[in-house]
Amino acid sequence: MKHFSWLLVTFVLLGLGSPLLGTFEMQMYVPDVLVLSAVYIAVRGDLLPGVMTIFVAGLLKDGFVLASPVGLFAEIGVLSLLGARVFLRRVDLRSMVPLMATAAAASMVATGMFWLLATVFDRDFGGSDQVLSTFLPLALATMLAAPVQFAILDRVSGLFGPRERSGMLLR
Amino acid sequence: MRSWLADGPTGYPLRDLLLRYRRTLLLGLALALPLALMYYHGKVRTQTSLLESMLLTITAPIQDATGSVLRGGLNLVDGYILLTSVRHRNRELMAENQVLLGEALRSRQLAEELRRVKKLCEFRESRKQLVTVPARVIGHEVSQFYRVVRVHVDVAGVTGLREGMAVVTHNGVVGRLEKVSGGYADVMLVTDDRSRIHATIAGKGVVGSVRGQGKRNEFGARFVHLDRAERREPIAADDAVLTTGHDRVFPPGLEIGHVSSARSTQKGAYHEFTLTPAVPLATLEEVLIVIEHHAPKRPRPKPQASRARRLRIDPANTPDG
Repeated sequence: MKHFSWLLVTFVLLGLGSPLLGTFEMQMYVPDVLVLSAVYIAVRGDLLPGVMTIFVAGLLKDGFVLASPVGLFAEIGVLSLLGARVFLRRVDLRSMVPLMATAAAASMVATGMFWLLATVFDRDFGGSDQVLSTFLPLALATMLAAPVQFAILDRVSGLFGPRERSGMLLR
Repeated sequence: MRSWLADGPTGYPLRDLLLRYRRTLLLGLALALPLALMYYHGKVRTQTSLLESMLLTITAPIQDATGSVLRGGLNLVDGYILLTSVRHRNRELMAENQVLLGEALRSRQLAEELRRVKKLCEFRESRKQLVTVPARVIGHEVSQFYRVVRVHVDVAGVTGLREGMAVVTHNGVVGRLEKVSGGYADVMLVTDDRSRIHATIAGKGVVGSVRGQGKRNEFGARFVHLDRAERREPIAADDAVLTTGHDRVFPPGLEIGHVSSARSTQKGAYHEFTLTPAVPLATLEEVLIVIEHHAPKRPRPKPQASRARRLRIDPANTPDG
């Protein structure tokens, strides 16, 4: 049930991103909600349910961005989750700064994966310049949004079981 | 069925095998399935697939709903909450003013919406050869790499929307439909990197192709045309760029944009100019989808004078001739 709730939170945040930032004319600085959810689920969730959750979340993001081939963000989400599981087992995040740095790094890796997959699979893709120019702003926006999104996911997790004492991925 | 699963060809129970490797199989499926989907959907296609249609049906209403809730919340903040300190100072008068201000705000918004809709109606009246349906923009780009907006058709019961249909406003060309599902559709803007429109520069006799640049913070397009030595007037800044209709997508004579600068970049036999779109794409609210367009009726040629009348005035038949 908690995985479904994380999926729901991710879906609502994805749906909120465009109109919210469009109102304040900040469409270019949408934080990478999918990658943040992948990092969170990598730490807090189980492997198989987590992979299925992020796979469906990726498909939903594909639905919000139908200009890209369907399956692209699903693939990025699954790879991000698996990569985060491998990386975060070796790194012990004890404070907010490493957590935000991890979110920024994950966003940059995800943007790189987007460029690679779009170049290979999207016959019409010609946005390499845009990828390069939004690489860092996107990572910055994702880094700043990380504590907020993790706090929301933590709060939702608490509805389905005892909350981790440290909260927000801190170990 | 159970006995077939229990007795596999190798002798090991197939069910036990699947259970033993279910983790690997599911992970492999989660990685391989998106690749297969990308391979299929990444090809150049003209129709919306079943999966795309389903995703559009699921995600578009949430975009519409969150946008409505957000606009309502901002109206509440602007119209009421921010006035509470004033209301404390003069409760009765400011309570009345608060209501009036809220109504004035709504009236201004309605007036602005009415102005936009009126201009669209005037456009429709002036272009009776175009059959159009109105649509409302419910979502701007959610990706930094594609210039796409999502629209919802306001007219109930409209059928026949297809990918590739032109989308316009009274200002000019917006783009074309890319994905369609029910009453929702994605519109590829004229500034998207994939956009191509056959165009001409008004009054200069120059024909070429407008291509989107996909720029992030500036909307631009390239106009590529052949360098013709017989062209008399050079292309200048602010020259209007219009559709020719030769691509059979956009009706002829619609404004795409204007030339930003007379300076061009030569690439072989082609010259590239930078354009500014005619439509303010960042603040798009309502659009018109062109369902079909009919060629304008040509005026009938005047009948020629009869042979007898021509002979009557023939100078050769005058007494002096």
